[in-house]
Formats: sequence, C-alpha cells, structure tokens
Amino acid sequence: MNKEKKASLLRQGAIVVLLITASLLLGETGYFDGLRELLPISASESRPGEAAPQNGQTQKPTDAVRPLTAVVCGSGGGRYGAAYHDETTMAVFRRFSADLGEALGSAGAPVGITEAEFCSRLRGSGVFFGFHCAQPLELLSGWLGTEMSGEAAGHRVQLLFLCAAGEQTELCYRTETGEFFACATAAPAAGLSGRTEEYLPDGSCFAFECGKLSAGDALTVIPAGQATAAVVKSAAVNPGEADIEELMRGVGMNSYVANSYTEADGTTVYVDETATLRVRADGSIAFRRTALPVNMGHVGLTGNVNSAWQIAERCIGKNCGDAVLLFAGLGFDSTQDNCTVYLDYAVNGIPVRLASGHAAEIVVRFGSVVQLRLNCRTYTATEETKTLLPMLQAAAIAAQRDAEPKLIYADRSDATDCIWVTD
Amino acid sequence: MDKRLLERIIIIILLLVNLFLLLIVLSDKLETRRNEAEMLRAAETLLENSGIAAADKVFAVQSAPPACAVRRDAAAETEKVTSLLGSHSQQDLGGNILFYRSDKGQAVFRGTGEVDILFSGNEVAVRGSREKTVERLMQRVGAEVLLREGTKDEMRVECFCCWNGYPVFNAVLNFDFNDRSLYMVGGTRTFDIETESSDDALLNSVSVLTRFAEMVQAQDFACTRLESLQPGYLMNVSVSGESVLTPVWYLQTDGGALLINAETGRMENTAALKGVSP
Repeated sequence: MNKEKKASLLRQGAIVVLLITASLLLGETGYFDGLRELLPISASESRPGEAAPQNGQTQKPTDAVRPLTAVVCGSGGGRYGAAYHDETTMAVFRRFSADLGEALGSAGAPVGITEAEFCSRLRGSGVFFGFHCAQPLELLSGWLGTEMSGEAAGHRVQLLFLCAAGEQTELCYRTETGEFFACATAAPAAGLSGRTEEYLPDGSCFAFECGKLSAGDALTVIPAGQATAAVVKSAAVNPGEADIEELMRGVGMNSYVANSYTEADGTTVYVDETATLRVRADGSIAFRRTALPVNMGHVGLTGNVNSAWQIAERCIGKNCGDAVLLFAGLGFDSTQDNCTVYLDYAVNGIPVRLASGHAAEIVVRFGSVVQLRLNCRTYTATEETKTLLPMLQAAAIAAQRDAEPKLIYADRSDATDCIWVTD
Repeated sequence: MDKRLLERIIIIILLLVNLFLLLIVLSDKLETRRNEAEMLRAAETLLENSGIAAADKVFAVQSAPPACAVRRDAAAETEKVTSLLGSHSQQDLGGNILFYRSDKGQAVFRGTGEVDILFSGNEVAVRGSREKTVERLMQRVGAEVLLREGTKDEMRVECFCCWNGYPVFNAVLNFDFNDRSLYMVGGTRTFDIETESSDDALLNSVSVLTRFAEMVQAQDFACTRLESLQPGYLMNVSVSGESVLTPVWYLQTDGGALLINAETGRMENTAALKGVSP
C-alpha cells in the first residue's frame, strides 16, 4: 500500500474515531436524554410489578382482590384489625397474600367444621380476610399465582382464615351457604406465625368476642378506633373518543368499519356486522354481540374473569378518579367457558352501590365479551370526613335482623352518602 | 476541493467539536462535584442542628438502585438445585412448593422465596473458614450474597441475598454448620429473572440524610448518632413466584435501624428485619 493511500486511511480512521468520541461525549452531556423525553415514545411510568397509580392509569387483575376487612391474630390472642380502610387492609393483605396463595394451591380435601370450631381457631395465630363478595377459591388462588384443584376449589368463599396448625398452615373458611370447612395445606406455618407476631394488638375483635352482641354474624370484625369516611363527590363520565375506540377494540369491534349514528336522546350507537355498542349521555354503555364467538378452546375461570376485568379497567377503571374497581360477583356454567362478571367501584376500601346496578356487568364466552353494561362514574374523595355510627352499634342493629352490617357509599347520581346497610 | 484538504478540515472540525464537548462534560462534572460537596455540607449542618452526630463514612454521595420486578424461573431454579444436590428428583407439593431430593440431601423451594436445604453427610465440607465455604458454595450456585457481620452464633453464617450487587435486607440465608461441614441452609432467597425495571427518580444518599434529619426533628424517630447508611432493597412477594424489589436506604443508628424508601422518602416497617443488620 503506498504512502498516500495509508495516509488517507489514517485520516478516515481518525474521522470515524472522532465521530464516535463526539457521540459518546454528546451522550455524557445529557442532551440525548432531553431529546428522548421530547419523543412521544416513552417508557411506562408504573412501578415494576405493581399497579400503576390511579387517575388515568390501569391496574392489573390481581388488584381486584381487595379484602374489605383484615385481622391479624397473634398467638397470645391479640388482634390487629382493619375494616373499610383500603390502605391498612391492603398492606396486611400484601404481607400475607403469598402465604395465602401457597395455602390455596396446596390445600387438601375440605373437612366440615362447626362455627364454634372456626371461632376456636381464630384464637390461634393467623390472618383473617373478609371480601366484598363470595368468590370461588380457585379464582382467588389463580390471582395469587397458584393453581387450586379438588373439591375446595369450587367453594365460594367470602370469609377465610389462614392459621398455623402445628408445622403446617390450615385454611379455614365459610362458604356463601354458611358452611364452615378446614383444609390442611403443605405450606409451613413458621413464616406465617413469624409474620403475625410483627403486628401489635390494637383492640380490634370479632363480634363473638366482644361480649355485647348476642346475635348477628359472629365473624363481623369490630375494629378499634372511631369509624370515619371521606365525603365523596361523584359524577357521570362521558367516555372520550379514544376510550370508545379502545373499548371497541377490546370487545372485538372494528372502529374503522363500524357505522355510528346518534339517537334523539343523545345516545351514540355503533354498529358493525356482529355487534352493537350504545353509549348513552348519562355515561352508561351497553354492548351486545349478535354472533356468538366460536369455541376457541378452554380459557378457564381466571382467564375469562381477567378478560372482563381488563375491558372494564381500560374503559371505566382508568377514569373513575379516586375509586378503584372491585370484584363483586361471578356467575358461570359447569364448563367455566361462559361467565358473567360483576364489578363495583370502591373508594378508600368502601364499596359504592349504584342505583342502576353494578359498575360493570360483563358476559364472557371463551375469553371474548358477548355482552356488557358499564356505568361510567368518577369519584373524588374530599378532605372533609364524616363520623360514622360505630361498627359495634351498627352490628348490634344488624343483629336484630340477624344480619351483618355493611358500609357502602350509596351513589344516587345526585348525591353520594356513606351509610351502613344490612342485606 | 481536494479530498485530502476536505478530510483535514473535517478532522479539525471534529477535533474542535470533541474539545468543546469535553469541556462541557468536564465542567458539568466539576459543577456536579461542587454541588454534591455543598449538599453534603448542608446535610452535615442539618444533622448537627438536629443533634445527630454522624460517622464520616456516611458523608459520601451514593445512588439508590432502581426498583425492579423479579420472578421465579423453573429452569434457573433446577440449575441451582443441581449445583447443590446433583442429580435429583422433584415433587410438586402444590401451591408452588417444590420438594427436591437426591443422595446428597433434600431441599424445599417455595413461591414465597423461602428455602430449606438439608445436606446429608459431609457434602459441603468446611475448607478454610466457614465464611469462605459459604462464598465458594454460593459462587458455584451462581447466587450473589453479602456476608453479614456480627453473627453471634459461631456455627452459623448469615448472608444477605443480593441483586445486582445491592443487598436485599429481608432476604437472608442462614448457613448452619457442625464441626466438619455445612448441614443446613434456610431463609429467604431472591428469585431468578428480572422482568421489569424502573427508571423513576430516587432519593440519593444526600437527600436521605436530609429526610432523616427531618424525621428526627419531627420526632418520628429518636437517635443521637448515625453509624452507617447503605442502599439496598426490600423484597415483597404478594403473588406466588413474583416479587418486587423496592429500593431503600438502610440507616444504622444508636436508636436502632431505620429503613427509608428511596422512592417515596417514607419510613418502612423494620419489623420484618428482626435484628438483621448489614
């Protein structure tokens, strides 16, 4: 290679090296970071592994598992309890949810026990949860990352107690029909017992322990402290175009092909070959598919419920302000391929009861939505609080009707009030 | 224009650009160092005014690690078990509890992160010190650990599991020895594969010192001396086999240990640590 060519190669090499070093130095100055922020492509702001914050961002199906009451029972009989206080109940639930999932997944055959035997177990070390509605244990297990099989999987449960029973844990629960069962599990008890000892007793108790209630639900949780609730304002939400398009995608409608028109009452109707979507002026949405989806294989209960959840979360869940969506019930056939999922709103751990029904009622078949009704509402928890009738008094009144007191926000469209009800 | 001349002009321009950028970078770094020194001085003054003495090593600018999600992986776990127990059988006890057994011992791995391993015979003989034995074993398994100092029981070695070099303060493994060998390992491990990582802004060591001083002034925490400050993680398993590693700052004081969440600046519950300290 002659001198001239060598010199030329050296110069070109120097240019390449200088370009590289200039790029690296430009990166060091941070100007690239600034440019990246200006671009529309940006990383999600949600924290890894957890639900994104509310007010416009979506949560995961596992967030539907929100107990309304939680009691940590210490080995000495002490109780640390919370009811209708989302921050506290969820903190307790997250601490023990992996243990619960493990117990559900390894639960053996259920053995019938009496209410007295259940209450006796509450005197030992463990954790108690009460949910908004009865749910199949296999659904709860699926949400907590394990698989449940056997007879107990089909039991619908609203109250359960995970306790230490010797070396292993025992799962005890009350079904929606009022029967009590206990299942041995393969989960070791040491970790559960250790975690329960982290909680100092705060004076909470169960109704059967407080000595002042002779009737009613013995397992009503009576937390210590004064019961208060934030004053909440509510309003109807008219979904925007982007939300409607996303909903249409979620239910399998093609927004480019669908025709739309507006009725006299202000309802916008979207129609395509197989489905109709109606968006009313009062924020309610109705969808119906005229052609049923073909059998695309067994999806299972958890798969169907998660499909329904995601549709609702993307449409009403991200626009509900300070509220979150709460699992409120489930109907399904023996194949579990046809499910009706009910969801309610909840604000700070207190469920919202709408005059017009549930926040979402979604019929799912083989993982596809065939029918849905959504009520789009938004809730704002103000700084103002309302002092409620103490839980003990509410329980005493409910006991006269042989019922359990429930705290709700009653949303009557023009006003939302926090009240005790008995169902 | 002559190609050589053009190349020379380009080289000169690029040299000038590189020089200019280098000056910017150096001046930025100097500025950052000056700011950090100033912030450290301010933090030191704030601590003094709050009546808190502090060890010198506390006054260094450190960053907290990013929050991340880590999940259990069957293949990675099987590999770890093989390196511990050799060829083994596996039994699923349900609830994501897996029981492994071989001639060398047995192990239980759970979806909560807890593990129990029992070695039969002298499979893991002590060579050198017990600490060195543990380090060699963990290297063989491919697990990052940090030895915990000050363990009272001389027949036990305690280690923090680490993630990307940072200790996970509530993921502690206990290695129990007899006279000749390791016979049992128990505790909580970190899972195997990172699935998500966050790039949210976090409190650095200087911000944490300021936050700590505020807590003491507000009487949320009582102490008179800050011994050490270390970044790390707290592991939370809310769904079986999936964990979230939350970046935290571990502060060791004469009033006890304190954990400050590096994302929110709030105090974390130290009850779960149960006397554990780095």
